[in-house]
Amino acid sequence: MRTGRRSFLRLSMVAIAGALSRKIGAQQQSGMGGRVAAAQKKPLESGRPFDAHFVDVAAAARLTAPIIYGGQDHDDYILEANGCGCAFIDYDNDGWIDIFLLCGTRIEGAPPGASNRLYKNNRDGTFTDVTKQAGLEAVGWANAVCVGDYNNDGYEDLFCTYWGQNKLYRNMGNGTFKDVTKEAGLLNSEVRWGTGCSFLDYNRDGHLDLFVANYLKFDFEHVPKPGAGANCNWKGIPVECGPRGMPFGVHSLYRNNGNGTFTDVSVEAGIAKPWPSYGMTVVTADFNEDGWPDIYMACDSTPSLLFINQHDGTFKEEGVERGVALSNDGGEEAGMGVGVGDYDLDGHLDIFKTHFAEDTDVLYHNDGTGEFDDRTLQAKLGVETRFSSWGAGIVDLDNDGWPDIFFVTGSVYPGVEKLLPQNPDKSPRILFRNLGNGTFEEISTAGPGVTAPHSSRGCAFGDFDNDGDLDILVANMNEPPSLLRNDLKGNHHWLKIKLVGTKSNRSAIGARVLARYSSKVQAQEVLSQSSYYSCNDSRLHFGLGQAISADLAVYWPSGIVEKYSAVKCDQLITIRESHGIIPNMGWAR
Amino acid sequence: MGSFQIWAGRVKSLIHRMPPYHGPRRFAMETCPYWFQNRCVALVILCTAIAAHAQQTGASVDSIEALIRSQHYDAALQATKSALDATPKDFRLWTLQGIVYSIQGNNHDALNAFDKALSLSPNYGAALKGEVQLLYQANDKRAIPLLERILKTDAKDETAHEMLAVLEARQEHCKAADEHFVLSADVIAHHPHSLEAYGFCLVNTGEPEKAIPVFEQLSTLLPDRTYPKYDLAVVLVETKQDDAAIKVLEPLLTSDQADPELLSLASEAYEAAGNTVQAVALLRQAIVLSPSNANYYNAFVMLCLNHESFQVGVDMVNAGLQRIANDPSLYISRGLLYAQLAQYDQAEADFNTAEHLDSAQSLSAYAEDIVKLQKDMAGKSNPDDALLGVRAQLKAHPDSPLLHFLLAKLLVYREADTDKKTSDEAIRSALLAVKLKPDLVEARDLLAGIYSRSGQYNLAIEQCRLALKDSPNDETAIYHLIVALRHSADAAQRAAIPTLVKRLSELQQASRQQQTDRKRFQLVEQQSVSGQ
Repeated sequence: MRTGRRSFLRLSMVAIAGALSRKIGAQQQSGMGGRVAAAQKKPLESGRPFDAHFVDVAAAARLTAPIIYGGQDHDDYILEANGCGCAFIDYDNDGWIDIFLLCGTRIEGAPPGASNRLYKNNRDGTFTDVTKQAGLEAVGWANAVCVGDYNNDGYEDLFCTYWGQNKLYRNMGNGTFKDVTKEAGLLNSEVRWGTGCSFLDYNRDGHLDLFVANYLKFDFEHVPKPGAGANCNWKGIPVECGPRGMPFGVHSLYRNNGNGTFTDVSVEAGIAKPWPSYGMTVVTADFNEDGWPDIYMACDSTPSLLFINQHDGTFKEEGVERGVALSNDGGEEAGMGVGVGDYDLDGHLDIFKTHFAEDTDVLYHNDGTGEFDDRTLQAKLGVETRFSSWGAGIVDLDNDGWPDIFFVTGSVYPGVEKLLPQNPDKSPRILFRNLGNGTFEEISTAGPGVTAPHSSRGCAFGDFDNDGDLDILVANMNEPPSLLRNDLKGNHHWLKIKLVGTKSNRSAIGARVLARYSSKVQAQEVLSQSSYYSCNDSRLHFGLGQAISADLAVYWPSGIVEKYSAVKCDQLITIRESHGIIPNMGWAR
Repeated sequence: MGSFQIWAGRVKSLIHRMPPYHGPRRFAMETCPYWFQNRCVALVILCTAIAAHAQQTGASVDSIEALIRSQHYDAALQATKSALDATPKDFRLWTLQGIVYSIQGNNHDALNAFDKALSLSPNYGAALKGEVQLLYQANDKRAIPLLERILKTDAKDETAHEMLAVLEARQEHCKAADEHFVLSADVIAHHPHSLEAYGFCLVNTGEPEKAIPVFEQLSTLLPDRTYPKYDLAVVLVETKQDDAAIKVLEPLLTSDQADPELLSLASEAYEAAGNTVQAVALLRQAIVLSPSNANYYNAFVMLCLNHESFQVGVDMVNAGLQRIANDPSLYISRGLLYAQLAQYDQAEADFNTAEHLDSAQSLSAYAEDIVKLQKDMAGKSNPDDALLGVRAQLKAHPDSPLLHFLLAKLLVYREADTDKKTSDEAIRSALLAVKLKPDLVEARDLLAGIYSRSGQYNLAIEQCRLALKDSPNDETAIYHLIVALRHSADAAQRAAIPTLVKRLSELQQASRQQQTDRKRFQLVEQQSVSGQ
């Protein structure tokens, strides 16, 4: 009695069409959730010269030890894929930023020499490996690093996250570090996968607290092999499983007790709820400009989270309603890295988040109240969708006064390239110069340091050679790092600002600076982590363009506001809270 | 949505199952809506009604009635003719004549007699009912106004409601039919034909939930028939009560089950319930039983897509094409699978073939453009190819909502809707798409995004609400609505945001779980045992 076969046939074809249109726009990544978005058409080139030029000087700088991380031509587990971060840290307060690079291991065991590494800046373009002397030799599945002076002794400390046990290293002030994880009360009672982290003073008591994201619950006994289970295939190719289908991680907030120890306040702060999230990079900043630091966490394959500080020791998660959790069509994305900066010079901190291949990276514009709009397409950033993207920054690379966008790339599925050449293991860095009108232009002529293909993860921005422009440190998978020296030409001016808290935490993490120059205003904030699992030079760098001075307003975490007029360009200044501009103690320009 | 479309096909097949009227037929009075359960009772009732009048008008009616009772129909007929010679305007006599003709099976003359009676007394109940019954038997929609007349005098006449409902249903005026079915609920409960019509009308008017008890009752009335259980299972699958559907179908899934459509429905239910192993087995069985039916190969392709088992799907379609070489849907299905395997040239070739086989359908054109887009995204083609392709295809298929939607989407992403000209064209295309296909929610989602980005939040809200009307679980529409409401100056509108956020989170969690559940299984080729 079932007639109507022809009509059924037509409807069957519509069913196929439905599947077709869903597939083209939906999440094809098996384990890693991300949209598939068509790239925007590239606009005509502006023709404007871009003065920054990057050369990889890592070898010359003696940064030659490879960063071991998982398999070289294939990965069996997601643990091997996500890589690690890096940091610019002036650990010895000599005014020259040093380098700290995390490192992973291999499933079959760590090869000789695999370790996190601390490199001291020799101030001549080279570095010396002082890992052993510093007591920082460690091997394991390191993920992220965040920097902050948690005990306010004037020396920056390090917190490193791991699959396993995280580590807090106290800077002893004499060139060495001590693992104080246990005595600080930060030991996990079980194996956890710590990822992004950030020091922040969430209760404004002058001591740096600590937020740690977690990715997922992983153990070798229960995770299937590539291709063996759900979420273990990509475009029909067996790959490492996850994160989808794996139990979510639980994030943690630790309150600094002021005596070198921390108390886990995750539950009472509203952080430890079972958010459906695979946490990655963490950035803490005052996004809604109410004087209290908030927490933004890029999350993989799940909505990113924005915890808004409620001023009473608790946080409220408002990522979706504030427009920073999802893509512009409400889709979950593979959020990895986070750049924070004021791209349109309206005095508010915007967010740039990196994603998986075949999806756009996303630019969220902050209206100043902590509500964001997706401006990716308007900013012409949707032209680039080729690669999985990781560490990122909204940073002024040519000192023209308009922060640019830079990020590193690399495949999360090494070996897939043999079957799908359009998904290479290694790929170039991406640089978008800010055109000053709300749009960006992709630049491929900024030097071999940008165009050389690598599989990269974390990156940090800082002026390692103290010449006034921003250089870039990049963590590469199973290769030595890249150190991209910026050989900037042109006559643009700059200003670097080192903040030292007194009533506020010594690192001045959470201090915001508004710089006014040539009728522009740019906001920056001292951050403990950004990019991907990495930490930038703590000295805030402002390109000033043709302006020869800038007016500064400093908003300290303590609530104190200080203003400085007509600060001359092309110098580093140090501002101590309530003391004004002080001599650069031992720090060069 | 793919499952919905296949279900919609089954709904269509429910509708089409109602047999067209091919002429006078014997009917089983006990299963049909009639005022009369058998001829004698009919006579008694009608004649009593007439006789009540006849007492005032003379003995001729009594005598004619007596002849009818004693089954002297020829005599009765002769008597009516004679009586009408004397009193040609006696509508009761004309009615009696109609009754006799009707009993004799002379429906043509019966209708004429009833017509005459009604021309003399338009609201004469007996004549109305007599005529309606004949017209109803013949599935003649002229019965509809007559039934409406009956109901004007007696709004509670359930039989009239039932007949009217069935006739309306046959005309596919299901909304009207449903109203009358409700008013005849007591009588239709025992009439399978009417229950069947009511069931598919409820489905047709978007109330499949209400159709469940109807088809349950139908199944109870006809326990030995398969189709009521099939119908019940269809609506259970549509309302996502897959376990219940399986329970209904399971007894029918005997090893000798030879109905491929039933097997295909069961496959769909099992897949939705997470039992992919059984789903695949049943669908394979359907294919074996009906190897020249493209639908089942296409359903298999859907399974393969869901479980990212693309090559297996290709192999199955290849087998189908050996039997049905010229079916465009199979080429489209295979092309889709090739696209998933990043074999874009093969995909395009298949879509081209489909287009040649049936250029009236625009689906292959749409699919071809999608693949061009994928090639572009993979860096394998000129970036402008996809846009040029869509524009060309639209010239050939100007009424394709999918192509208009694709054009709008490409304009938004490739050209960016940030300049007014592109934005205007994208909006025009998307609006045309929804005009051609109002339930194309993806186009409404796209419109909402464009409006939001250009600050036209009220228009965005409107599109979101329209999309959610058709697809309440549309996550994109909910997100766009949140974004647009956030910009609203209306505090009451903004107050709705937290509920929407919660809803979105719940849907996302469910989607993630569904995705993981689907991917627990992968379809693989059976390996032959060595040496055998």
